[in-house]
Amino acid sequence: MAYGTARRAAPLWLELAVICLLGAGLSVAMNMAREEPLPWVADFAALDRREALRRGLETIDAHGAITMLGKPGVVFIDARSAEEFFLGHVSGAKHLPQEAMYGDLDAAAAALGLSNEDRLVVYCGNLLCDKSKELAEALRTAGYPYVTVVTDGLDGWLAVGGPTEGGA
Amino acid sequence: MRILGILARMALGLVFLAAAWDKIVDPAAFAKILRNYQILPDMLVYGVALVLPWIEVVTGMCLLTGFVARGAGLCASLMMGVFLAAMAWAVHKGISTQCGCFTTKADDAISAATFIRDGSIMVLALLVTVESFVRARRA
Repeated sequence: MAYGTARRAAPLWLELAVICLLGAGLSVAMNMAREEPLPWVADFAALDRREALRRGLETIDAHGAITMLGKPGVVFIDARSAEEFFLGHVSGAKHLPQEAMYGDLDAAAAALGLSNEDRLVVYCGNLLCDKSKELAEALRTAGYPYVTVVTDGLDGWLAVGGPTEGGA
Repeated sequence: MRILGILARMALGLVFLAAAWDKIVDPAAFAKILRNYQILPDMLVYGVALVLPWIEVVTGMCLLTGFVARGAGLCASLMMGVFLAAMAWAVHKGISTQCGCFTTKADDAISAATFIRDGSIMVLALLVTVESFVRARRA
C-alpha cells in the first residue's frame, strides 16, 4: 500500500453481513428461477404421510410406534440388513430384510410366523431410508393388509428411548 | 510467504465452491440430509438447505478473489466449526446419516474419513483467517 493512501478495511461485521446478505439474496433469486421453486417452509410430517399414502401405506412416528410395542397381534419388522439387525434392533422385532421382496416373500414371511391378521410395523434405519416403505408395499401386495411404516425408523426409536436388544 | 497465503486462500475458496455445487443442484435431497441430523426444527430445514449452499458459494468466491477476504475466512472457519459439531452430534446420538458435505448422494456417510477431511479444511480455514487478519492489521 502506498504511503498516505492506506485504505481502512471495512469493519468485520460488515464483511460478514455482505457475505450473508449476498448468499441469502442469491438463494432467493435462484429458487425463484427454478422451474418448481422449493417451499421455504416444509411440513415434513405431511410430506411423509403423503408419500406413504401415495404408496397406500399407513405411517406412524416412533412416538406412536412405541405405544404399539407388546400389544397382541402387533409384530415389529426390521427391514435392514442382517448386519444392522445383529448390531441392535427394536425389542422383539423380527428380521425380514427388504431384499426378501425380490425373492419368495410369502415363504420368508411364513418362516417368521407372520399371519395376515397381524399388524406389521415395519422400520428401517432413519428418516432417509426407503427400505421400510418398499418392504411394506411388497407385504401389502403379498396379502398382508395391516402394514404400518415407522417414518423415522430406528434412529427415531432410539431418540424416544424405545427398548432395543442385540448388539455388542 | 504471501504467495502461499494467497494460494491457501484460493484453495479454500475452491473447496467451498465444490462443496456447494451438489446442494444447489438438489436442495430437496440436501434438506432430507439436514433433517436427518435432527438438529434444526423442521420448519427451518428447507430455508437452511436453500440459503447455506449460496453462502458457501459467496464465501468461496470471496476467498478466490480476495474480496472481503477477512470476513470470508472467518465465515469459512465458523461454517466448518458448525459442520464438525453437527457431525459429532450425529455420532454422539447414534444417528446414521450422510455427511451432506460435498454430495447429496448416498455415498458420503459420516465416518472417521469425513472427520479428518473436514478437520483438515477447518485447519486451512483457520490459517487463512489468521493470515488475512494479520495482513489487514499490517495494511
